[in-house]
Amino acid sequence: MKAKVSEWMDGELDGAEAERLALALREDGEDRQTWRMYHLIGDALRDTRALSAGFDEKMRERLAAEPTVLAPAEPAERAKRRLRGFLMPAAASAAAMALVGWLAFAPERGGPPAGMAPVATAPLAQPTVVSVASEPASVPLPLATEDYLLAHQNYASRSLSRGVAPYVRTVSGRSAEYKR
Amino acid sequence: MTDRDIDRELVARAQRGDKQAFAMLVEKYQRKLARLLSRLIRDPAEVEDVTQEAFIRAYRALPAFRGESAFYTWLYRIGVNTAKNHLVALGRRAPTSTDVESGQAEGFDEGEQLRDINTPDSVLLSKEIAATVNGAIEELPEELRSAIQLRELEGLSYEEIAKMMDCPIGTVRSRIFRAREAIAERLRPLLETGAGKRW
Repeated sequence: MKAKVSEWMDGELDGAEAERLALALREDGEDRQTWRMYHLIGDALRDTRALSAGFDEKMRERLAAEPTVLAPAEPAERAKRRLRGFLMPAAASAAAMALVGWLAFAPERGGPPAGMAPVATAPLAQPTVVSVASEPASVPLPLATEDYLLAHQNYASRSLSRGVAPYVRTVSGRSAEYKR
Repeated sequence: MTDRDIDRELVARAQRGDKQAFAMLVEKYQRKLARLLSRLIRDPAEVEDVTQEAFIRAYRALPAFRGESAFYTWLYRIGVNTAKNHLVALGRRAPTSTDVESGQAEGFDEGEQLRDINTPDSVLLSKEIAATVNGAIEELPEELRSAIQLRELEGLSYEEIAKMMDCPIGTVRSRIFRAREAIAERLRPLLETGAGKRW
């Protein structure tokens, strides 16, 4: 144990061992004497004068006469603020992670939502063109292009539109060509 | 864990009501603080009284200590204020701040061989202790003597000493411990005899 005291006072002992030693030194026994002795040796080597013989005893008595101090616990409001400061960003991060996770890994739906006709069963041969304020809402593709897109939709980008990809008709980019 | 970490741990324990942890800090710093205060107060007996008073004030103020500075720096400021109040109470002029600056608090160690704390009792004890320690050091094998001096006088870490002495850290650890124990063996009879237990 003395070797550990030597090591600890040199700042070379960490973790549980240091914790155990600090507890052991609370008792005024041999290890505590070692602590006092080693510090005295260090001071003597540094040529620091010793104090008078009664100093330690008087100091002990005075300290013993003092009421035990206790540092006040952290005020509740400050503790709450600190907790909020931690929880809010943590909750935001968790929500963001959940969203990204859902977008990236959500299983593709087996069929279209209720009320929506599956693309595969839409009347492809005779598409209906609906115009609103002279701007076409959708532009029919040639049949071969639609078939091609449907067949290769699994290779389309999956980052953000995975869940709805089967039902998105990716034809708007072509509308300009059709307009010409 | 650095020396400051050790102090921080002891302070934290004391703040939780562990008086013994504070007593360990007293044992560690009493001579160093007294030596510093002897620059403000010339009377040796007063130096000891003020040193004790400073520790008591520090203990009472412990709940307010947040660890923003090193414990010893904080203790030193309390010591200086206590000394100045003491001098004012006695109608004496407190030395100006240029006499002792707080910046000296942590670096005030080696090289300043003060002899101000010189009650007859402490002079005799100090002389005996110094003679015993020096005698014990001289008798140590060279590798033990170098290790303890590099640690205590130069303040080097075990790793730095190991590099300087070209040996493993474990060897440094062992050498420093063996040196301390060899010196302690010589000191114990001195401290436990004479006018009762003297420390």
